[in-house]
Amino acid sequence: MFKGANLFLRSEKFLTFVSIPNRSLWRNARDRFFQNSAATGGLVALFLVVLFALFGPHIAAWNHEDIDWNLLGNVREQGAPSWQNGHYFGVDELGRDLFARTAQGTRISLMVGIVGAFIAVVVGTFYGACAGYVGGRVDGLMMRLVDILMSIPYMFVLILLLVMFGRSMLVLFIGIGLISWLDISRIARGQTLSIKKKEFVEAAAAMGVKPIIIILRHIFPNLMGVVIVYATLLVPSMIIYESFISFLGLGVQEPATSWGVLINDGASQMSYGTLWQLLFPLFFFVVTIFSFVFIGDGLRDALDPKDR
Amino acid sequence: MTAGLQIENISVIFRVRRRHAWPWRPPSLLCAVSNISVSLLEGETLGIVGESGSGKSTLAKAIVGIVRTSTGAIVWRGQNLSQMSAHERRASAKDVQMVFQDPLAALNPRMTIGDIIEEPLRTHCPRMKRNERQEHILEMLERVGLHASHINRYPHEFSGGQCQRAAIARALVLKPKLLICDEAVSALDVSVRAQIINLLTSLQRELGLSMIFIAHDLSVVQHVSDRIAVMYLGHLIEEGPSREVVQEPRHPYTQALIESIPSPDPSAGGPRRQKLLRGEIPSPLNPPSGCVFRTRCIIARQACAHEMPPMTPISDQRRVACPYSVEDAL
Amino acid sequence: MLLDVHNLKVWFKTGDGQVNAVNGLSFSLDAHETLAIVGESGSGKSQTAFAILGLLARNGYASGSVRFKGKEILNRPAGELNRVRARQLAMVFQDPMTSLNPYMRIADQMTEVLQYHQSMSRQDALSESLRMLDAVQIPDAVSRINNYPHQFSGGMRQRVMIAMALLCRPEILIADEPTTALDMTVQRQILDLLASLRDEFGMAVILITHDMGIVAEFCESTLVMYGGRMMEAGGTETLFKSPLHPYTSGLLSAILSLDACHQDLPTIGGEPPLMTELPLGCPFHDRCDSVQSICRTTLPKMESIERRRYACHRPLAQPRNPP
Repeated sequence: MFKGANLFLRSEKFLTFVSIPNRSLWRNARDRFFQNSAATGGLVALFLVVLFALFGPHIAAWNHEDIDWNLLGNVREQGAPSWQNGHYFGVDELGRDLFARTAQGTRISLMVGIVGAFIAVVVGTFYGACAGYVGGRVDGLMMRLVDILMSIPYMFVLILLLVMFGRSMLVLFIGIGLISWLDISRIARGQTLSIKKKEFVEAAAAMGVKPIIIILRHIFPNLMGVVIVYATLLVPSMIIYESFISFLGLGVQEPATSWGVLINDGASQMSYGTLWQLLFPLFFFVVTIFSFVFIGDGLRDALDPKDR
Repeated sequence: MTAGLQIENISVIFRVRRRHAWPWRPPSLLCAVSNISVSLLEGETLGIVGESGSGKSTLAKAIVGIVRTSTGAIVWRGQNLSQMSAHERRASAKDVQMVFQDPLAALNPRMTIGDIIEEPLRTHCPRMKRNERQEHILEMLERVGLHASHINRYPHEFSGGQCQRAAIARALVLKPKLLICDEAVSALDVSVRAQIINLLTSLQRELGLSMIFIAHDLSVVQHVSDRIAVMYLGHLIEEGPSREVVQEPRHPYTQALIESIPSPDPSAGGPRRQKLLRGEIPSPLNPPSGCVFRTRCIIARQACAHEMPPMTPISDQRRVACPYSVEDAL
Repeated sequence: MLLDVHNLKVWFKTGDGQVNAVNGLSFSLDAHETLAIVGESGSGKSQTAFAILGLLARNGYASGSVRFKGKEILNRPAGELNRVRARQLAMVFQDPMTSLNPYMRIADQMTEVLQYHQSMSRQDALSESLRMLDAVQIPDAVSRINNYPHQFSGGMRQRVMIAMALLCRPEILIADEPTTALDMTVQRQILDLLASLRDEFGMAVILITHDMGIVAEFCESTLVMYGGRMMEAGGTETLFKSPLHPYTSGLLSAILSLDACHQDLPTIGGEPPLMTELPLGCPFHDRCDSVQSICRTTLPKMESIERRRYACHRPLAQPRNPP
């Protein structure tokens, strides 16, 4: 019987009991994530790429803007990667240091990817959760708006925006941010509809909790599993968007650079035998995209509710 | 004793849109609760019995305000809950709390037990200090038979019975006046069920709660209730003191419910009793005309198809919605 | 003897260590017998059924012996098991919705079984399926057979499941909590149906449940499980009249009757043990009212008298032979 078994209590005893390990669902998921070697590998690789983006420019012997006049005329013969002249990744066709440029490009590409995905997650989740929770006509209106926005060929709009307002990072962010949240809002709405029917949401409503608090306290945390997985898969697609735009020549402005610009330049020089100009940026690009995909996969397995 | 809760002629009607219907076609109406009047004295327990689809959960949700009523009034201590604004309604939730059927589903899996029990306090007493709230939580945990060490644990680490205890703690931490238990013990193992029933009845006595206890199992309901109301397809069909309803049921459906309780005595095989129920509960989207029970009733006659018999008093405290008696008819 | 289970052990390997679901269970089932396996959730009763049918989850392992008509069927290759499962052993689950394919008509799901296992023609299979639906008393079977599972109510779905299980005329039907998800009135109908089908088809039935209440009217013999072990077994009548194990008597007193009113119900205190860390000695000792020091250290041996068996250091009554 539970009768006299636990009639003690009060703060001082309580403190000794708090130390009992408690396992939240997040913690279980983390354990599962690290059992997945591909995902862990992806995380390590991504960490290294981020380190490179952060500290690369400081290690580099050259600035990413400066031209090495000694090499300008004969990039093909002398511009290859070498430790002696400080061009670890070689130089580009104008004689600028590729190591510094790749590091700088990595910075911008990662930033575009992460900021774009972040905007998408915040706006999309909130929008979708509100639509799903309120339901009825409001839901119908909000989701039709998403449908309309989705039917616009966004690449076209993005290119128009960049042409009209000039090529700047800000316009690029706004353009990507405008369209990236649409998918996530649909996913969040669908999930919210199923979470809304759970008894703990009804219980909160019966308790007199305000709708906005219910969304933030009960719906959001339970959406996060799905949204995080989607967001990790969104980052690479953001990077690819940006690369594509830059590849077309509408992205970041010289002398700043990004993976798309670098790969474009490298590709155009390929026939001259300066393959390093293509391969170094491409390597970072591919490694990052794969890392995100592996991490996303690992997260999906780790957060899979069926496994609970 | 004074009337705490008075439910007067409430109906809950849902608009149901058929799948693949054209958007301009009017939705069909589903009457989940139709014209129910029932009252509850302070400190009393009202049991509501019925099969799934009888509208008993909808009635409970209408009382706590998760579901909108279409007509009628819910009067709680002189205040008409159904006419309140959403804001006033939320404030009144302090007095009326609910415990749900599936204990694990009723607790947010991402919150600790402590956070879950704290939530009503955070909602209704925002100025209360953190350690004061902590004290309330610990007191509630102790009251419902959980351990203080459970405060930082998550619902999935507990068994069904323990989760239901936590749900009860959450419902009672604000010291409500009315507790609604919607199938609160149906999902539990038999041995745990007895523990939870004992817990609920003892808490009710200690705190002077009024209680509405909803279940599909008449033997559970009669054990905790002072009065029993029987529902079928959204209608109230019999009401009275629990002992009387169980011992001399008047409505054929109530009699069928009692007959369906399995006998715990293996030697009482003998000749099988008369079968009092046939078929299944009809869809509430397409209820039978007249008396809703007539399609399954063994004493149904022509007249039953015309009109739903009203709840008629047959004694001081008893009402029944059937003018015939099974004994006479057979 | 139709089915003979000897020293059955079932365990699962999980991230949190080994979970021992069944720890040495032995019982036997005669033809036409109805056996109830009773226990709380987590007592290993469902896993026993899954192990017999070879349906354990991928991380589950079983040892011991399960003989069907003298032939070992535990841990046999899937092909061999499929033949036994289809023709001689059938199972009905608690939630029919999870074991019916929501995208297939009932007709297709039922005939598939017959066409595959009995190599019947589609036409024969269809008429046989209709006969089974009639047998489980589904009204208007001819038109309902073309419906999808979600078009049936819970009780009707359970009837469909039973009809599917009966298609190949099995000799043993294992029903795992067939009525737990259903209303009282429907529960009654399903139990009555099972009883009449058992007589009609001459099957043996194993009914797995946590509710002693439904055992009394339906089963000849009862086996009470706790913590993956058998606590007590015997004829239902004698077991109900004079339970030997305190756990059995606790389960019996938890049955609610309509007479007792407004008093505290007798309960079994506490919670079932975690299967990862079973206590030493008798698994029931920390919830037992008549616990003694020996119960905490030594596992009670299985005693048997006539048809009754029990595992308790201190049985409640002096075991007698049944009259």
